[in-house]
Amino acid sequence: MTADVLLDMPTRRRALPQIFNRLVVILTVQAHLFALVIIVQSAHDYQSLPACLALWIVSLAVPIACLLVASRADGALPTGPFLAATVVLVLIDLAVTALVRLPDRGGEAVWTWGVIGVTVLGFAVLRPARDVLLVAAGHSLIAVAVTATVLHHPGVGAFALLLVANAAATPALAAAQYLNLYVHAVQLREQAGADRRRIQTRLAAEEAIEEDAAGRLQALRAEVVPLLSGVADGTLAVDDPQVALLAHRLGDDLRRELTAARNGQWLLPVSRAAQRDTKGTSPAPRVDLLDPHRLLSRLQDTDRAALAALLDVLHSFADWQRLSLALAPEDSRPAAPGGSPTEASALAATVVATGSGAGAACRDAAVAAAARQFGANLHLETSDVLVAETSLTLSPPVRFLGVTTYGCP
Amino acid sequence: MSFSLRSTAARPDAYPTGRPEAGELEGFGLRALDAIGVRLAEIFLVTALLGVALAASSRHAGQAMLTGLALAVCGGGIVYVLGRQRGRLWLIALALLPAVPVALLASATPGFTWDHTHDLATWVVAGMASGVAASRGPAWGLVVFITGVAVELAVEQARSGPASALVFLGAFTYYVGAAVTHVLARRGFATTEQALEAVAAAETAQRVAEERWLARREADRLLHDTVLATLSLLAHRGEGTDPRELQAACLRDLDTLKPGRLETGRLATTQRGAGSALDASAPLKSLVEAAQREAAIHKLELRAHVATLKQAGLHLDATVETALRKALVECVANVRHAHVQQLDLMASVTVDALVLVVVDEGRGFDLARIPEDRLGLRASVQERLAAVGGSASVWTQPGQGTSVMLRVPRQVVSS
Repeated sequence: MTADVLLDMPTRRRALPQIFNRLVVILTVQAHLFALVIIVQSAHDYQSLPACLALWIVSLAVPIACLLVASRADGALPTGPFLAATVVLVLIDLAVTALVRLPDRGGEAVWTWGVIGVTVLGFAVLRPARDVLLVAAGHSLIAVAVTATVLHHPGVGAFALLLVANAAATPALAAAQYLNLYVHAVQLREQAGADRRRIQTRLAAEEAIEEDAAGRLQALRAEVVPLLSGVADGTLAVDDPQVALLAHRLGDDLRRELTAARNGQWLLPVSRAAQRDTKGTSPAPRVDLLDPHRLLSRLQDTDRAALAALLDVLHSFADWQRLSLALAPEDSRPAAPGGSPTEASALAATVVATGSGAGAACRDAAVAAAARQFGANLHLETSDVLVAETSLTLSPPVRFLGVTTYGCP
Repeated sequence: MSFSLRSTAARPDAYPTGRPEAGELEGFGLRALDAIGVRLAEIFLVTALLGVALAASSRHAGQAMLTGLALAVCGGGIVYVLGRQRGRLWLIALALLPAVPVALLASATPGFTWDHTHDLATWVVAGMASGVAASRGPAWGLVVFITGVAVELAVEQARSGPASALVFLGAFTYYVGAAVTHVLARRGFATTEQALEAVAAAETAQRVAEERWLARREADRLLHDTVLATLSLLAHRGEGTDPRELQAACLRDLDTLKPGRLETGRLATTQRGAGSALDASAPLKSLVEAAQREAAIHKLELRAHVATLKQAGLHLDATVETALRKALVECVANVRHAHVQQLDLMASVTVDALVLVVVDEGRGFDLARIPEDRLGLRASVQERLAAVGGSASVWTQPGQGTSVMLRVPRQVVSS
């Protein structure tokens, strides 16, 4: 599995995965080979065979060129090239008709009806279904109109009209049907996945939260519970100096812990669930945090969670020698007299993972998805150094108590 | 047509052909392929039916009707076999089915012209072969294609008519298109499935991190408001506090510290100020009562002033009410540092907000000198209210008393 599969997701601009590009090539080539056979069989029906062959080449080139353009535009064919291709196809329709001698225009010498119909089908891979149906309708209209003009000739009748309409419209109709059903299948899958994920996420969150609580409250409970129990049942006197001293120390410890937890650093080391799932053989290292400006506490909740998710996914992926996170202000100004030294509104976050699995992690779809969630650009610095960089907006300073404080929820 | 993707997707294990299902998307996708196979075949068969009607001469209406009937059977067969996901034997029967209309067409030259015969036969073969190929893959489609072509050639040969497999070149194009579509779709399902799983894993990890963060923040606020407050009282030997209230606070805190209570949001009945379940008809009264209970613990006299205007119709969302009550209780508890015996609580509902103001005339403090580790106003009041869309403001100076205003907009308050 590679990160490339993320590009193969159906999107609004392009409903089918990029793997379907091959369908365009295969069908285009095959339909044009079929056309070549017809051209050879009907050679005497054309006013100029070389011109007909030239149009055949242009017709073959159009879908291939569209595919090349689309491959440079995230897989979707932009509107400009699409319109240009449509105009060229219509011109080919008309030009081939003009090349065929009048009595033969109701026969198979006009090879474009079916072949361009198949080319239009190829557009379904690159454009929304509505565009494909519009072009197919135009193409069919031309086909039927041209055939209708020669209805009075021998051998041309309603059957010929049906034949032409079928050849011109069927490919696009089939493509539109397929697009709808594929999109529907993906929607059903996403819906089923979302329902399942909601339950999995809740269970995983509950487990992680309980683990968090168990780990950090153990020491607190060990000393606080006997003290509170003693006071509650009267075995410890409230005015006992030893009780006051112990309460003072425990209160200080708790206050320190509560204050330290506010920057969210505790969220960064790997969760125990991720440790269990790790694919590596060595224990996951802790995250080295480089945050001289204490910006971690000012991350927005969503960004903090996305950062933790990226680190979690990285942890679960491979052996790492070192994982580090650096946070630096992007637009900090020198501290005004009496002002805060960290009045930046944005920061640069850089995650660096060093280890032999960096290359594989860089290609991993889950890592890529987590990096995208964090808004980070993922790349390999060297063969064993993976870097994820992004710029984040900091929580706006909160006006409170008449002075500026930071760290809103 | 009664076939629907949704209806078949509802029973993902109902696939008797034994084909492996690599992922959930493939399960849904295979049914989509069945549906597209049916529709593809129907497009061609209906066109062929129209073609028979147009091409047949009136003198051979009987033969045309027979051919039309055979085409209808083909259409019905493909709907039944592909739409109902029938197994291998049914597929073999389906593969042989187009032989009937093709044979009828090929032997019906008196009724149809030679060109029409081959065009119609081509449509039938194209429809059946591409339909089956789209649904069940290249091999099954090829069986249908070869059967159709072979029957056509055999009948023509038997009648000594002109026979050429080249006329099926167009049908072959459609067959190849459908077969390639089937193969690419199967691979597309697999890659899309992987992408969906990867995105899901990342989203789950982020959601879990969010939940951990929120749970920890709320747990820390509760620890601050309960255990830390009690330890602080004990450190000062319970000065200014009723000993019985202190014992009761210890019992409540012990309950709070029980495993699983703190971070899992199951503290509703044990937290300080609890018991003030909100009366929706008098939300301010409920909040004021919670404040009065807290004041009593600290031997403070609370004078409440409740404004009555615009109160009608107010209903507090449970989450907002909890946040507001906890913040208010914390503000009242903080008055113990002011060295006064009395405080005032002004509660009102204005046109656009619910506002609570806690005022004491105590010693006040310097706003700029609040140590980093003092979390009462910062975490238990301001952050708690901000989390539900509210805000807190404080006015104080050393020796000038303190006023704290808690404000929650009405669009947040009302549900």
